[in-house]
Amino acid sequence: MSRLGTIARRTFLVGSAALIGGTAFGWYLYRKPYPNPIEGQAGTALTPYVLIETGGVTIITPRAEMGQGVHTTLAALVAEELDLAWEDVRVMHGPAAKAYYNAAMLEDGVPFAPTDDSWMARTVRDAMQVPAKFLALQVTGGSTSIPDGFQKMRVAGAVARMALIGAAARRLGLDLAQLKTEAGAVIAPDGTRLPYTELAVEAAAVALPEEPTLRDRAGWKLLGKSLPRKDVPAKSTGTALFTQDLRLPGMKFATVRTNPRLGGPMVGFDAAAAETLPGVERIVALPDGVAVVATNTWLAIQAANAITFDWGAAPYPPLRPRSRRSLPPR
Amino acid sequence: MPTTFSVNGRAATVDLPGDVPLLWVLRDALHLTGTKYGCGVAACGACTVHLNGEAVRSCQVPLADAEGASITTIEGLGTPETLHAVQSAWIEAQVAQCGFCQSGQIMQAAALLAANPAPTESEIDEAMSGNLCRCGTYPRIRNAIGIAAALLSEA
Repeated sequence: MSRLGTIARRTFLVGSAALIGGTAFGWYLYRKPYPNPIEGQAGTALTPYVLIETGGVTIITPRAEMGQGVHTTLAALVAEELDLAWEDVRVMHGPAAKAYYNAAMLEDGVPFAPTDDSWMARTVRDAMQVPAKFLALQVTGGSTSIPDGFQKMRVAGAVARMALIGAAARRLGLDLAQLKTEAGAVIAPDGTRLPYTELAVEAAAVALPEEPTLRDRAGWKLLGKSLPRKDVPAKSTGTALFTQDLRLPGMKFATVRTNPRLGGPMVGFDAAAAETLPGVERIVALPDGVAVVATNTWLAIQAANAITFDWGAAPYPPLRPRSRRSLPPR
Repeated sequence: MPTTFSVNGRAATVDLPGDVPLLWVLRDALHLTGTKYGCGVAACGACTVHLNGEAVRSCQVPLADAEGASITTIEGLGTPETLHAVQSAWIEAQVAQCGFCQSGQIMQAAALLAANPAPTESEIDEAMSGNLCRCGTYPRIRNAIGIAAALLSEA
């Protein structure tokens, strides 16, 4: 079969599988949103991405901030539509929740080049959003956060804004068209400012539009501009929480030693000396190594260093002189 | 045998072996996790704190040597509400990227400016040469130290 024929056939199979998968799950279920993970928190959750408390508006940015600025950009997408002053925007990573699935991650898993904009490529990419939702992958990576969030974060901001305008209209007995928004408040025709924080509870009772109109690019105030990053103050004060900074009551600290030949087994070990060292709580045998649990990371490392091991052979053949010779000369 | 010293202006007493590095006393016993573990061999500067006003690598200071000392960590330099001038400058210059090394960078820079309020570019580079940043924020660090020096001279 020609190369073209092979590609066409594979494309067709993947295409059908994705489309059939979508129908099998049912479009009704697909349309039904996941439960809002931040509902029930103190404050009013207008969408899974916007939390309004008396103290201010918090935008949930459910992708891992690793210095790439994702919390800032995702928050700006919401803030642009919601009409918030950038300095008032607070961000929160948010809980692990199905509502925060990453569709772009699976969309990028389709067998088309990212530059392929053919009808088939677009159809399969769109269809992949259905399995992405059911797999509910809350993933950060592959440069997918902005393709995934570009539409949905702006929609979240626009929906929340419509609800706040609806609440203000109801309170003031005015038409929606008579109200505008500016820097975290609904503005009445006479100039009265109704801050979002005061409207949030009433806004939660307003029916949300499913497909709000998004702002025209020409009217953007935040997007496309360099903004001060929301993660920088915490990273400048030692208050940013990295994984190894998590501290829980009664927490212990552990280290692991495994076979230095990757994948090789542990034949045996002698931890008699290690067990007597200060701070050691427990030494746990693992299939290919041990874990040392102690009251302090450094004490765990000292104890691990005091263990003698009998490591088994590597599962791969030793490097032979011939293969060394085959390397290009340095 | 318990060791007593002062951290960020408060007395602390810790009952750990005297050879435990100060880094692990701060992080695991006192839960001051702003000070980071980078390499453990004084090659990266991520664990930099002030010991009696001098910038030291806390992974190399045995707890026994901290007896009676006055220690300042990033948490004691300034807080998000009351920033130290170096921290204000770091925010203004948007220095941090991943942020892991920045506590150490800031502590090193604060010690430099305390000793030399108007360092030249080469003095900055020399003082900061032991603090590594894998994100490569060095140009912004140099810029921030200049901003901090200006802030401190106005104060």
